[in-house]
Amino acid sequence: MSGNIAGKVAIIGAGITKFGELFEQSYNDLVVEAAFEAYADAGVSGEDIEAAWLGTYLPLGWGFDGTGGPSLAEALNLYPKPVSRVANYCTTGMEAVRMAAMAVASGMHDVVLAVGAEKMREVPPRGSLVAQHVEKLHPMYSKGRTAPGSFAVLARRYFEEFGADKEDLAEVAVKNHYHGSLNKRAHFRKEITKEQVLKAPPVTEPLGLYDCCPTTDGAAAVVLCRAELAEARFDKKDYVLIDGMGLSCATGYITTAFNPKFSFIGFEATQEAARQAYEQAGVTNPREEIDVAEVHDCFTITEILNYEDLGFVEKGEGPDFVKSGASRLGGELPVNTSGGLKSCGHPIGATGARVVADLTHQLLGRCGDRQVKGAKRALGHTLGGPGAVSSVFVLSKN
Amino acid sequence: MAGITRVGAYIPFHRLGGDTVRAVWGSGSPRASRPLAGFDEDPITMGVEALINAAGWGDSEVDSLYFASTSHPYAEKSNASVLAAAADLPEKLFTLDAGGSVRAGTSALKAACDAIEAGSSKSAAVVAAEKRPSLPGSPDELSLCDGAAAVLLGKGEDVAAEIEAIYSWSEDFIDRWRLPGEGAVSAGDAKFIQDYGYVRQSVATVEGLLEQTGATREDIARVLVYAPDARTHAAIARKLGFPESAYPENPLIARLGDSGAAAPLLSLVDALQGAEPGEHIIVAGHGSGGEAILLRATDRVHSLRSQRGVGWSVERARPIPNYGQWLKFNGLSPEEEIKPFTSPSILWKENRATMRLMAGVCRSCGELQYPRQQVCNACGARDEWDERKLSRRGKIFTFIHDYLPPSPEGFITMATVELEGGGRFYGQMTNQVKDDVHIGMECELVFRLLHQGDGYYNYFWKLRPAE
Repeated sequence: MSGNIAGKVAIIGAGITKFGELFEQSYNDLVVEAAFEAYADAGVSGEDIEAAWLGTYLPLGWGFDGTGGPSLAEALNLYPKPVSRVANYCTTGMEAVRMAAMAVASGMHDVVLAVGAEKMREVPPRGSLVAQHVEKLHPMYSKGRTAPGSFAVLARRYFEEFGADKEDLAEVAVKNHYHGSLNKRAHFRKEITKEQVLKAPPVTEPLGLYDCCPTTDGAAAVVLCRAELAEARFDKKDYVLIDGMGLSCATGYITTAFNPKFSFIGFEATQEAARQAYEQAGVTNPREEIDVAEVHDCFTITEILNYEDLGFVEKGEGPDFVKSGASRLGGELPVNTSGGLKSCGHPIGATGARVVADLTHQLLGRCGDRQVKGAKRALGHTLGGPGAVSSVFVLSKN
Repeated sequence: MAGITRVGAYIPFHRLGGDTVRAVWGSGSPRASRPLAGFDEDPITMGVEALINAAGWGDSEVDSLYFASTSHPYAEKSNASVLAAAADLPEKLFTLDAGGSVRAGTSALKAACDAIEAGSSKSAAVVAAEKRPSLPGSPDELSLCDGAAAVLLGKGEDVAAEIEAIYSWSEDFIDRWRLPGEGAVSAGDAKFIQDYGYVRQSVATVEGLLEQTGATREDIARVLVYAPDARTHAAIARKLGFPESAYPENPLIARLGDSGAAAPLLSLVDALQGAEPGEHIIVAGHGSGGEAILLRATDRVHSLRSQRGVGWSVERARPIPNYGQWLKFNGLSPEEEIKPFTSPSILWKENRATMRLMAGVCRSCGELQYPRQQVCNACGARDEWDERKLSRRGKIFTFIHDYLPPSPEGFITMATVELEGGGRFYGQMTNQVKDDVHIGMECELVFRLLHQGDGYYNYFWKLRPAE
């Protein structure tokens, strides 16, 4: 990689809607709420926005909107500015931020907006989660695959190779529900016990109901600007800088499970995206240098694999990391203080933007009961297309 | 002289038990055990398995394929061509779907034999398969049998059973019938069709052959006749008057049930696998007249014993857990509607990969890739592939039981299997016992109905435990 994002782009505003089953709100309502919250935080208006990126994964699958840039331009009256929509499986929202950041870093634009939004509950959860996999995709290959199934195969293999078990996975669910209980925007705000997790009905053995993230509506937005302008133009004393960002496509969407080189105990995409981001940010020992992280816990097993792929611990040590309390609030490296996808929710296209927005709040000390005290450097991670693609951001307070 | 060179059979592993039926309807022989096609099985998939059992997978030189059934999945569109693709037969191939009568199996055998004799075919495959239609609560649900048989015909040294003569005759006769779209077979007056149909006609069929060939009853070691039930079989046997030893001690009709057009070929495959060199065998098909075929086992007949026949399948039989499963297998209970995406143009373009399991081996770097991309995912070379067929055998690397997708069994087991000789296959399992599935389990790929996207049949390979 010949360039480096570090120090070039500032995050000056962040907005996140309530996450949940938002039957009273439309897609546009969510976009407007997130964007205007970010505007207000940044102290800008729509007129200041020069260009915008929208992240929505599957517009016509479960909602109507988000097929292209005009969906965002229309909702926010950004006419006739350059607005585009991006999609990259579950990294979609983070990809909107990455595109926006690169536009600023290139010097093309000074102030831009990135929004991630997904309105999943216009149809029943089965209509979105099951139909997408069982009904769509290739007529033959992977027919019968579901989202939890795509990760449960890793859980099975991980258990086999490292002797981990469902109790280890339950630790992640219990922790993230605890964190979610402290986050007023989270989909689920109730603590759960390990016994509840273990007794829950199976979804995709070995994963049970509490090993899986819910089907959620939500949107998040961030306003980015050239780093020099944060103070000079917008009078910001405290803001967030992008230190590094990486994206890796390391395997195919359908072909992952056919690929003899795929280990089923981790994701090369995460490892490579982290390598890129760490290199730009100058991070050499993530466990020491990162203060707070939001990682992709679509399923409990994924969070354990992420600890290892992101370099917090060695392969096979993920279960001990969570069991030790290291990733719990108050631990040495709190992970998913929002509740994560597991408890905060996972509106696909919104998630990556939500992660960046949430970490912005953490770095600026706005998280109340779930604040990681003195957090200076944060890591955000998303993973999509059952491990085919991953995005990693390293952020710091200015 | 033309003769049978190889044989294969396949009977579905599922059994509908008489006790299961009795628990629901209050009647049905508790000893009955009906072989039942699973929800992902039909005459095409069962026919493919029988054909592969007979011909191997892609290493035969079959140039004509006859597919007999009264329950062909497609009323319009070739059924045999699906068999040909899945069994990886050569593309230069004559195919024929034979149907319309439970006699279709022996009729197809005659046609194939004639083609070999005439020299228009060097190697012919005859497959007969049935998924017999029956309604819940009817006596048929326990007396019918699903299954498939296949024989390969050729000439010369490979022949294990020479076909010495065939006798055919025709007489319009209404015994059992089914109109298009009907879900069950109708039957005429029971006494009339037994005495004047099955018994009288079968006797005429076999005696016609004896008369044509000059053979005597003492010359024949084994006599295999079609009958819709064991009682009728016994009546035909008595009337035919062969020595008791010529009839199978426990005929398939008594052991398994009425497999329609597949029945004569299933009996023949089973008999040939037990036959000694020099034995003469008569197999007869029935239906508005009949066919009787006289065969003589050659010195090679023992070579058929190692092939997967009726016995191989029967050893793997397992009762379905409850009557509800049988309703679900046949689409007789409400199911969540799913509309799987499919596309005839995709199925056509990717036929070699999906039906014949052709992977690519990169000429530049040796990478084996399935499904194959145009550009090698290892070295980046474009269009530098040699085709290589995947092995159909491997060991489970990882697996799950998924309760989300609608399925007649309540869950789908998905597994990634490391194949012998390289490559991985990821797909649904079938005929698995949930708690037996484990990492390292031996599996084989079997051809199954995946779904009915867009109203036509979408077939693909599934993983079946092979331990």
